[in-house]
Amino acid sequence: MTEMITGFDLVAEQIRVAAGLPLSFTQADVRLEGHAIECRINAEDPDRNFLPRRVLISRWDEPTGEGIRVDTHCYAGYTVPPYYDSLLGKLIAHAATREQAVERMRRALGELRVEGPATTAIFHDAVLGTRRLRERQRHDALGRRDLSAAAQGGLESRQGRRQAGREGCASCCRGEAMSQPELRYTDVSLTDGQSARWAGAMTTPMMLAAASRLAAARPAAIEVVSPATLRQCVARGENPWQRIELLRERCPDVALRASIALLTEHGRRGADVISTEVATLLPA
Amino acid sequence: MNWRKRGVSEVVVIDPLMAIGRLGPVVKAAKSLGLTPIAALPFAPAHSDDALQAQAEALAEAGAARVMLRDEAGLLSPDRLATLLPALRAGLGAMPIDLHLRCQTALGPMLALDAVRIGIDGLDTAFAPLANGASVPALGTLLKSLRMLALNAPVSEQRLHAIGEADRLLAEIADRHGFAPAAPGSSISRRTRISCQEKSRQSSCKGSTLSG
Repeated sequence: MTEMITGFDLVAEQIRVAAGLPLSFTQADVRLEGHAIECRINAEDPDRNFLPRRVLISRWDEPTGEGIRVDTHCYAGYTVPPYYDSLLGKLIAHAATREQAVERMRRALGELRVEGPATTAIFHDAVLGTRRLRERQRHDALGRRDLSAAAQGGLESRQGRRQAGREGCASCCRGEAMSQPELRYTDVSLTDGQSARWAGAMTTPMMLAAASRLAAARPAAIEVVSPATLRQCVARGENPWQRIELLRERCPDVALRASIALLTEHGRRGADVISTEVATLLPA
Repeated sequence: MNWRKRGVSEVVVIDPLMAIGRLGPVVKAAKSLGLTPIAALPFAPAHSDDALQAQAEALAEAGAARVMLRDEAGLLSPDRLATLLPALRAGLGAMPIDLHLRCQTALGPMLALDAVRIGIDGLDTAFAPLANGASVPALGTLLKSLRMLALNAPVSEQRLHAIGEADRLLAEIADRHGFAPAAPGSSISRRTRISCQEKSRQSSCKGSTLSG
């Protein structure tokens, strides 16, 4: 950052000094120009309390452009070793004003693409998006309490950038694809799906014919009961408990989910309602 | 008791009126049955983010293990999602948030992608012939889009193949029973129809109710 706002090559000056030479400039020559921000990109997962990981970097695309500097040793194919800290690089943004530097840094964070390890890029983006930081109320104790607020700020900024026609920039911050936990997908084909698309005409034998194929696609859960399909099942003279049991047999490794709606007819309240729903499902 | 014994392990409790007074006991009852209670938070555009956040917090206090934002009418927009999800996250902290979207306005798949970008823990999806329209987004399309956008964990070819197989089987069921095809002009449905028609010609399969 010092090099960015002074224009001096400090490493070169250090080598000069080590070689017994004087500095090539005096204090009077030093003029500070503009603002610079540095974000340290570490192979740490902000969603897991900044847990570092030893992992292969499968993609490393650095941001470029005016006022952007990246000091790094990383490349695609590099494995983050467990022996030292998890620093992957220093991303520095320099601009005439503080606000421009922040904006430039956020653009650069959005362009950084790292696949393999989770990185701190998204955390930095979130912090830079907070109102407190924009209003210069920053402090060095930005911690756990601020994280959710920071995340919000990041989200707002991402949305703003999408609206500005730069969709996808922020998503690149989430380049930690390989270590990000998978979303929990629940399949509702047999309930809401067939209610909405096939008017609830799917019978238990049809569901059983498809069940193992649905389970092979590895959803986290399959919904087997919904208010509408429950009514349809009973109206068709089928036993909903038996349907659940048979689906359980066909899909032994997938969680099964039910959804129930509390009835809104007058006179039914609280625990009475669930007992009514459960009673509806009880075997005769 | 009976739910758990028969293999159901989680239950979504939906109260369209959002009366916490009667939802709370139901959530507790579900818990006592050994089920994971997922409390539904019905979305209505007229309700502010703050109001929905307060309702979500009440659901969490009532004992829900997860909160599910449900947009049954398909009225959620990307812009609204961008403010609402962070508000819910701020109110719920680490509690998982699930999303149940519908596709009446065709925005469902896009909203699902946005939700992943913003941060969501669970999504309701369906296989292609039973997805979109008044239903939820399609799993296969969503996973492929997420892969193209480098969002979320990468999905393997084997899994996409398994999803394709499930799509095909359901499309066959649709064709066999005269149910609505996957989507107008959908390749899955068309392909299945063609293969079914060929099969039907070869075996002079009677009673086939092919549509289109």
